[in-house]
Amino acid sequence: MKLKDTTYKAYSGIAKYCRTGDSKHIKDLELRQDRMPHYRRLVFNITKNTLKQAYPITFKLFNNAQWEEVVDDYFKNHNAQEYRIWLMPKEFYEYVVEKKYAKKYNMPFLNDLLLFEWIEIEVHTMEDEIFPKIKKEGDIWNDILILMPEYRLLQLEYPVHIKQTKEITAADKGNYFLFSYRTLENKSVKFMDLSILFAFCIEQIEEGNTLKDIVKQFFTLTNSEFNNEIKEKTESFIKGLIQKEVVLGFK
Amino acid sequence: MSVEGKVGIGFRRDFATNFLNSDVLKPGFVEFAPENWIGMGGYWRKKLEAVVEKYPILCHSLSMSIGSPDDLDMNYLKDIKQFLDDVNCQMYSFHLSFAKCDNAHLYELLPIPFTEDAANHVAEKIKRVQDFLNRPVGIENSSYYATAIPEMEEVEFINKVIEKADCKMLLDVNNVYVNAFNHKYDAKKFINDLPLEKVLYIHMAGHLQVNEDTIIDTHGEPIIDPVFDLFEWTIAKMKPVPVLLERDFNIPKLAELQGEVSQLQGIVNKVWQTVEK
Repeated sequence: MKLKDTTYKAYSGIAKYCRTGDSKHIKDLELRQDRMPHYRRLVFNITKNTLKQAYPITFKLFNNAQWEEVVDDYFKNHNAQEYRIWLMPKEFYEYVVEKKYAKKYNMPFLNDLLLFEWIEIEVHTMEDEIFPKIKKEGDIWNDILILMPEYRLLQLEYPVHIKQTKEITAADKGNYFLFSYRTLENKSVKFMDLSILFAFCIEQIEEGNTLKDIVKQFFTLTNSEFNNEIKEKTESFIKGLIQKEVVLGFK
Repeated sequence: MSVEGKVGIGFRRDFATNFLNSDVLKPGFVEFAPENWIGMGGYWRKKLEAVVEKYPILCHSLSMSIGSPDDLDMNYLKDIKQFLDDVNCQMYSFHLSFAKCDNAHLYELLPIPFTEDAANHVAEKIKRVQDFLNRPVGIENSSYYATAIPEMEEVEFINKVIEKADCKMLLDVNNVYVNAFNHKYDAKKFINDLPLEKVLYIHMAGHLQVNEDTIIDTHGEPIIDPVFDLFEWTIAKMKPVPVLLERDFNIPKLAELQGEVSQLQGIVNKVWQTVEK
């Protein structure tokens, strides 16, 4: 069924007005102009409040003008594709990265901060995964370890997960690894700051490699020396993951 | 379990845990907004499953955007169909409004122009939705504050859509009250002109008057007495159907919500004489 041009223009004019607040989009429409700001307010507030809830640290970091500007730009210019409003903030994160607001606001850590905040929502709400069959007994170094599947491993440039944003400077730029998982016990979200070795371990365990091979590969790649201290720390790390039920057991 | 003549509650994450851990709020059924739950696992999925175990389920979509000039989103519809099956949904409805236009979701209920071509367009889409879901759907009379280029009255538009689509209606009595106030028409005449035999179920909610001639349908206040009165008057003209209390904002303590559920159930029992013996 094709709509008449006038009907389509009415739809589109209302939608554009709600997204921009610019009354030029509705001025030729026969409707109660004085009531339209209610729609603009309702529509804009839904998006604004959803983003404020999703990104509370970013919201506090921005001043009012910055927050209004970025949310207004996003709502005006980005065609939200997600029908579930609770997943829409991911599109906001992608928009902020694409439009380079980190540079504009001189907040080099902004993209990482948004990702850090988003990942908490993603891990908390991600669909339940099927847990693999495992053996409870095995050898940490020589048997293949099995990870619980409800996690995300992120690489960040700035330590937004371990420092207050006001304390982060350009000198902090580096490689940071953040492991986020959903606990089996009560499905809450936990975070762990990882060294590059332990992040590599997680990545390679997922690939189905044994810890012995993973460590060997790491020290070959980095051209560094494996010693007893590192061995003990690695073993302690894996035992900690077993205790936290991040490593479920052995293949 | 039959839900006719029962009063239910719209399920909110805000009160999920208290609701499941106590028997303060005792609805006859629960309504989910599928979009708030589709694809969600973990803690909240467990809560949803606990509700499904305990109560009959009705579903009411927020993002169907049936009035949109955009075509139906078939991936969305597949998700909805799966969800309705997963929760053993007894009745399904959505708003007669649009929330998506020019390929962008707006997440709010916007008014469809009351025109002949829009009525045909919407009816055609509803038919396709019913065919795809293989179940009847109820369309809700939405609250609206302005409508563009109207060629007909709201009630005529609703009747045309329902007749052409051969679908059911979700009657929101508060919306009738709000629209009657905002657009200065007679709420009872409006209801008399609706196809009441096609009402699948009823929504009841609170609203907020923001100035001398405008009420906003907030779902954030208790139901006011004139809306209770209109509800009682309306259901006397109908066969028993489920009645839902919606409360989406300013959510009070469960005892207060139960107070409203009980008040609605009292009216239902009086009018439809559905008190269990």
